[in-house]
Amino acid sequence: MQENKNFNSVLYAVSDRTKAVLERLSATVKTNTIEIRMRLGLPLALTVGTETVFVRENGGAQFFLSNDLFKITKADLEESFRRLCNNSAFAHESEVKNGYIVMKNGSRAGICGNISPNGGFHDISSINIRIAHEVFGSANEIVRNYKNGGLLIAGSPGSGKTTVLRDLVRQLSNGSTGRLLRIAVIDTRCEISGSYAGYTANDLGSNTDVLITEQKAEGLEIALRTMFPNIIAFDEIATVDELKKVSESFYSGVNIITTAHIGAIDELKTRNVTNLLLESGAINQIALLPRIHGGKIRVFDTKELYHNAVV
Amino acid sequence: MLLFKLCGFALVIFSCAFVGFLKANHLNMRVKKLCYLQKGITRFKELVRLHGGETDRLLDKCFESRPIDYSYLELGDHEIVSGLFEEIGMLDTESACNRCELCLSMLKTKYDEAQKKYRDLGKLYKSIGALTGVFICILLL
Repeated sequence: MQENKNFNSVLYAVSDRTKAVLERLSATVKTNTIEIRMRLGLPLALTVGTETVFVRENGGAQFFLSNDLFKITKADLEESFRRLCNNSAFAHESEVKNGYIVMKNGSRAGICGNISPNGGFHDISSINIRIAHEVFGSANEIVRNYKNGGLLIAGSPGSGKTTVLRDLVRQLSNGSTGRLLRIAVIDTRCEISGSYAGYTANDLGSNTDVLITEQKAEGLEIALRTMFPNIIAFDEIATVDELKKVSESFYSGVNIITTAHIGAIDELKTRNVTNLLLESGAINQIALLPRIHGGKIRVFDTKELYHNAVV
Repeated sequence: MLLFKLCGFALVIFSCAFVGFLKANHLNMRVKKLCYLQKGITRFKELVRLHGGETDRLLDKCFESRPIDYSYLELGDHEIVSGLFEEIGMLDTESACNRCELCLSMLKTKYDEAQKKYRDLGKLYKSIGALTGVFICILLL
């Protein structure tokens, strides 16, 4: 029922018309919904598990297109946008410029439309609300095998990298390895912490500091110099700048835990950023997430990878 | 009997003077309210520029009471302010500040107009009230 509660908690951000339809959905659909997709002139769609489901005007859900589906209007999108940013687009300008808005319960809404150079948003064409969820225990396998060093959580998009990272941070911070580790989380889109107005919606443990910044590389430097952490955790390493900072932290004795989009294990070597990251020596272990939720997480040492033991 | 008459005249004169005073006070209060709104919106604009938070939070900081009290204002004044807060939700920082600026200049015009009206009509209403009372008493005599 926790997920059902999460579903209801994001309904404040949709238009009254859409909310009335979504409230009529069955409890099973509500519980398993991870995304609510609103597209201008198109049927309201939900991502339930890994499948796309369309919503009928009477609140029913189906896997195929038909004429009685609930369609999203321009007024629905504008009303939703106003509610998402609490009638204050100017207060969410930096987020809006990057195409998303952080919601009150730590969920995130992606927005498509025309963005003017100064951050104004108009002609919104679609809104995708990703419902935040914490899965306690999702990182148990990693915690059991964690060797107190750098760790890369790799997986395909939607495999739950952020969810696992969040649980891992919580467990390490709370001393699951037998030692309370000081963790600094660099949260670029408030996705890990679910921060809103200074408060974190997600449980990141009792020994964790959260730094919210758009510039991950700068954030790494700040965390390194000011928070004196044992571990710096952040989502999705992507640029060479970030890599440089990761190397700096490695030489400062601070461990890194990060995630990377990897379709298959051999992509770790073919993708420039991950290859450089592994070569830098900052990563000792790799946790590979399964494509299907609920599958087993494989944790192995980077040395094994270089000796082709895993590939 | 004479005492009753005198009391009645006094009551009529006092009532008419009071009505005149109320009318003049209404004009004065409009001037004060417009000044208060200008101060609040100027502060609101500054906070928007400083990325001080969402509209609700900023309004709490800028105005003593919420929702904003529009009493004593004319319909035009009310529309200027409520129009600002209806439109500002979709605007970026720069546009929001510009919109506040526009609202302030419109309120300034209204404020000048209200001040002039109070200067011209305030004393007149007060004195006319008392004089009307006296006039009614003379008629009754």
